[in-house]
Amino acid sequence: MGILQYDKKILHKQKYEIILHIFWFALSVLVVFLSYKLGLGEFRNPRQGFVPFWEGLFLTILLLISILRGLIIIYKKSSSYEVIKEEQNQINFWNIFITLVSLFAYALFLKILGFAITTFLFLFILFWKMGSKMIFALVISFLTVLITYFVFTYLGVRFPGGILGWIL
Amino acid sequence: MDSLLGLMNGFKIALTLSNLFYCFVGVFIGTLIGVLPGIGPTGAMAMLFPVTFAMSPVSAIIMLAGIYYGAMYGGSTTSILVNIPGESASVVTCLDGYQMARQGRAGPALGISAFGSFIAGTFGVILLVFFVLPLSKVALKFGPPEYFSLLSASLILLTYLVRGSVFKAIVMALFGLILSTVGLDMIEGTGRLTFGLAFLEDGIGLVPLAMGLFGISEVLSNLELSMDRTIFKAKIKNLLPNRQDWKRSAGPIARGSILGFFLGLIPGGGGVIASFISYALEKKLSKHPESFGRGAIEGVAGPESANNSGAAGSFVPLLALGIPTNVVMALLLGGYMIHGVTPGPLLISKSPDLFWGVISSMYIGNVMLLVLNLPLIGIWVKILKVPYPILMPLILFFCLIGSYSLNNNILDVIVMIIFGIVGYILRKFDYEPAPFLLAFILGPMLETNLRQSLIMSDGSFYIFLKRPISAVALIIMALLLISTGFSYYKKAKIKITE
Repeated sequence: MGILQYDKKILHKQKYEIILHIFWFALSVLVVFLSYKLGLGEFRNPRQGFVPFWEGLFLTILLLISILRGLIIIYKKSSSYEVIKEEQNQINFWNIFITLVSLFAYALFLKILGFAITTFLFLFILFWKMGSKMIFALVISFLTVLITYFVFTYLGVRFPGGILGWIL
Repeated sequence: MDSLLGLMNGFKIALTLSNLFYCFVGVFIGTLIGVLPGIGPTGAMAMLFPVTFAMSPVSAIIMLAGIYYGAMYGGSTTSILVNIPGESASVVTCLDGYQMARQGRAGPALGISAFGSFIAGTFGVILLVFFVLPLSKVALKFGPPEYFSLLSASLILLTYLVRGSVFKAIVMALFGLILSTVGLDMIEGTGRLTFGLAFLEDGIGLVPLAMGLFGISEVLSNLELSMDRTIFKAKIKNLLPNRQDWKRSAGPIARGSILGFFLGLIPGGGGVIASFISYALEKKLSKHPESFGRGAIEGVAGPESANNSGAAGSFVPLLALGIPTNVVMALLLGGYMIHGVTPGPLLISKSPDLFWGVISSMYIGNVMLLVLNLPLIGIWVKILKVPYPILMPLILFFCLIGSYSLNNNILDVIVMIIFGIVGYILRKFDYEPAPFLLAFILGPMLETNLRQSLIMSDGSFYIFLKRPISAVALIIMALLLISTGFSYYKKAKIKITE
């Protein structure tokens, strides 16, 4: 029989999942505590904390079981198996980072800069960073702003004018 | 007779110029998002919610429903031409559809898929009329205990039928239920779990949550991968299947239509499961099962019919009982509620125009889809060639303005982005967002019915077992939970002892 091997990637994923479960566990304990404080009432007259309390409690128990099970598996695997490293898939975290920053920036600057400028910048950055040529990104961003502004205004949506508020 | 009169009245409503327009917009967008990988019908419906606010409830639901069954048609195009399913109900079509395309038979594959979808979709809508009316009459006798048990059983069944781990689905459903309790308590009218934030007094918005979980997170997941697609290059010809193709497909279409409809009635059923079971059935019945996976037209005709019929079937529990059986139906329920209409047994008597108008529009929508998917196939192939780096910013942008235009409030946008990140993390750990959203929508109904039942029974849980329908639903639910617990225990034991 050869040496028992275990994929490092799976082990890592299990570790991260336990961290996630611990975070969720804390959240569910908080829900149980807050619901209890709200008042559970009685079975004949359940109050506002009744349902979230039982939901939170059930979730807490499930997560606790899962955390314990995960910890036992990780302990057993990492102590008795040879952990091998498999080739990792290349994940493009840079694109995800740019996208998230752009999304938050859009929410942050929409009121200040206004719909037209914020949308133009948001689209231009994403088109350009995702590989489109600069001229193409400029033109398509401009056209999208123009078309959506008129269509959505026609549909009754009011966008913030921002620094261009005097003309829009 | 009542049905016939109702249907005639429905056609009168659905055939008005504005409703025809919204029906067309719905099926067009549905086909479009079915064709485009990267966004599904749930995300698209959530994105278009704000647009429907200015419409009448009939037009709004006609459009939203059109998106759903339109996506069922459109999904097959990418499966056949690119080997990437446009949405999950078309996964199985890839197996034989793409092989047919490689053998120079993309035309008949697309043709039989469109005709099969049309026949099954129309058949499904006819059955829908026959099933909704008697079921609504029965449902009039339901009280809070029946509703609580049926809703709970639906939720458990959905988590049981989810693709990945049932444990993960239950965790997701519980989070959805807890999140649905945030905001004002419906019975006492006081705030709960709001952390003192005024914004949370109204609860978390369905639309930003759905857009984040199904729109933003899907885009973020796709950004990780290279989106190179090898599109079938040869000219697509002979869209009309020949006599031999029809002969081979007639049985699968008929079986797929019947099977799909009944599977659509079951919570968690709908198009996805129907298409897989239809494929397995056709393979089992075939005299040449070895031809499956190598371009057998039966492998396209059966599943494509089943998923369209299943889409029609899943409307039955929503319209008759007010219980959504899958996440798209749950979103449609949200659509009804936003327009001040509650689907269920009273829908036919209280809003006959809405009920019959929507059903009639489905017949019309199916005809529109046949036209959209056959003569206009060239347009969809061209759209398929639009690179993802161009589509992605546009999808994100529509999510942003969709969530902003709900209440002209930036906080809705931030909620959407946060749930986008949450959805992305959940996908990384193989957690399905569907039970989360379904539980979030069903949560308030579940809670109200539970509390009302307990008040009615003076705190006795026996009320749920005393009533036959409620008892049956609870027994099914208990069996599912026990079997899930048992299989989880067995798996955990094997993993630990390994």
